Amino acid sequence: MTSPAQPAARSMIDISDLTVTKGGQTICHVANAIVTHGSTVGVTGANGSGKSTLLRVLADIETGYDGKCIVDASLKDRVFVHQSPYLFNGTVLSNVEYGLKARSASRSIRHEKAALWLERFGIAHLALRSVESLSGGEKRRTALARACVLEPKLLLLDEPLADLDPEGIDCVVRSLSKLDASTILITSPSPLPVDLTQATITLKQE
Amino acid sequence: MPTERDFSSWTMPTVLLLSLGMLAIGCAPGQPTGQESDANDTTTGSSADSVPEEAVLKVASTTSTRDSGLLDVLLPEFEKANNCRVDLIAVGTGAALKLAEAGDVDAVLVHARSAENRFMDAGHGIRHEPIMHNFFIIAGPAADPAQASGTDAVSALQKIAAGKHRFVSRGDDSGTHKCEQSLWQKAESRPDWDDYIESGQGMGPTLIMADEMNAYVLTDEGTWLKQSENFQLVPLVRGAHDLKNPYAVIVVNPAKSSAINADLANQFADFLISRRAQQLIANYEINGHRLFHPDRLQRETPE
Amino acid sequence: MIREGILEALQLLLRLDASVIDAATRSLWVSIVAVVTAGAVGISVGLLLARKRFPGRSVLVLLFRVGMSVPTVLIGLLCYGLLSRRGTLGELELLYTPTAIILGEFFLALPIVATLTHGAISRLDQRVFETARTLGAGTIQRAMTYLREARLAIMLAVLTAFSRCFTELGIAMMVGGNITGRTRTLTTATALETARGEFASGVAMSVILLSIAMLVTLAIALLSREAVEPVS
Repeated sequence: MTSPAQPAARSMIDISDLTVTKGGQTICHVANAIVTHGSTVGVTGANGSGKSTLLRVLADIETGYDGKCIVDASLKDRVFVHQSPYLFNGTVLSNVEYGLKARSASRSIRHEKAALWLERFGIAHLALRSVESLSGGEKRRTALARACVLEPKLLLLDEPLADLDPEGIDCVVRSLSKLDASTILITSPSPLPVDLTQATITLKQE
Repeated sequence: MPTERDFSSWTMPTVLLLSLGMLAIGCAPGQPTGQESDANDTTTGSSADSVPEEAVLKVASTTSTRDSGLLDVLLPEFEKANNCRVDLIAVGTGAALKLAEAGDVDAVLVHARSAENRFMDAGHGIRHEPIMHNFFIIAGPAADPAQASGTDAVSALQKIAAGKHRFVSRGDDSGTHKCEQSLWQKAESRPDWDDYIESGQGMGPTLIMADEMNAYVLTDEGTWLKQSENFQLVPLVRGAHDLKNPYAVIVVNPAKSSAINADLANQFADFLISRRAQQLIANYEINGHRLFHPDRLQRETPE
Repeated sequence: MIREGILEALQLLLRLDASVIDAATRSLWVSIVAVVTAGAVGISVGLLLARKRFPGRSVLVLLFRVGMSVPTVLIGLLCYGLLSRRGTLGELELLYTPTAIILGEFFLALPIVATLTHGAISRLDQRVFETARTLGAGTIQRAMTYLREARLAIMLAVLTAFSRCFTELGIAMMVGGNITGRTRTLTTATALETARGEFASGVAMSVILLSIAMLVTLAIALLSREAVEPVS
């Protein structure tokens, strides 16, 4: 399935006959897909159809693949969030500021941006809490805030809506809509909210 | 490219092989049957009537005595003549006497006369036999800044003390150390200047230290002869009368423990004062130097 | 003998026996300096071995692992060979000084810290590496992150190295020389008392040594309490 092609602009992602094999098995295959800049695309398919693998390839975490996969963003502009995110030892705030520190943002900018996104994800009240004491949903929102605060060109979210209640899902959808400059790929085993995505890539199990 | 997983694929078989190898070695037969006859002995009578297994004599001695190499000559002779095995435990003088006091050994061979006398007075031993003696020597830097060279140990130490020259002592209450202390007493000096160093170790390491530090040191001749080949130090005071170092064997009082083999210990003492042993002692040499002077040789021997 | 030893240990401590205090502070000083330096180097090495691929890496890993089993007498001998007048570093005149013991114990502690750090970081969840990388962390920030994530295991590695150094005898004896007031440690003092036949005193020294080791272990356990994560 492809999104309507924009012949004039260069696409963010251009995939052609992408195949990932592990131990003799094909774990992911995409015949072709084009994703335009700034769009939000859902990636659906049954469990084991290779959704996470596709995102990992795009994030340059998975490097062994055949076929063509061109991404119009440097590595530093791509951020991937795991299906089960890992939060570093420390507080919610220290996690959210992690990537900002890497970009040598000044203290005040870091604080400002972190506060903004903590607010957007509804976890501002947890800023100084240790990550060990968080619930599953709170951990996920922290991980998402940690990624979104960087406003990356390409945001790759692996099942970001799992273990969130409807209010949480609402929160995430609203926050993601603030990132209109970013291209976002979201995987999900079940269909995503209509207002979230502009297109969908459906993967079939080989 | 080697990865952690490649590692483990050949580690397991190797570990298995090594374990099997060690198991095989461990199970290999090899101990003298004397030990096993204990387990097979089903008689309930007194063990004195059973087939004599190899007798073992436990002797405590000092590290310097062992290091002199003399015992490597004497002990096999005794073992053969008496069909036994001698277990030599070489420790510091104090420890050797302590082991004897505790009854953990059958005999003790040391060279600390005053400590030996106290030992006998306390009733820990039933027999005391002087065997041989040698001499301590005072070695020091070739330049000899204290001008200690000569045949008088006491005046040598006086000069060393006067100039506060570097001196390495064993500082461990060994026979050598006690001799050194009595010499300081005679010299009426207290060794407590900065360069008086107490090593708290055996003679070998103490000598090495003295050599490294280019210091004066009191040492027994055996250890000196064995180690001094590559030393910078040179012997300065030799053959002095007050450097005499007498050795004796003591049979431990069997009342201490039924495990003490007093008969064999007495045979050991007999052997050490016998003509044969005394001659072996007289002829023992290191690098062409005669090391010990036998005390119980009746006839005059040449040299 | 053990009971006498414990009683004697208490007496020595209560009257603040000068030679015991001297030996104890020296043991502590020497071990701490050795472990701090070996810790800095060892943690860096462990980190490198865990995260950087280069030819001969598995050989190095093996060497450091084997290095954990080197007997202290051997290390003592090799250091002696280096520091002796005739040795390569003879001019430094380090033999029979506390610095020589620190040098030897450095080589004792280094393989322990390096190997255990390597193990700890290798065993980190794969997501740690992927998350740090995707968020754009640079080399140093990533290194700090890995150390922080593995910090309990690394602290234990340092404690293990300290225990080994604090209780070793072979190195202190060979290159320290057990000199009164200069290089005598609790372990060499124990050896001396034993050689003298003063077994109870030997036990006393060892009791004091064990007590200090226990205090250090407790201190580190308390400090790392925050690092212990409750099972979630």
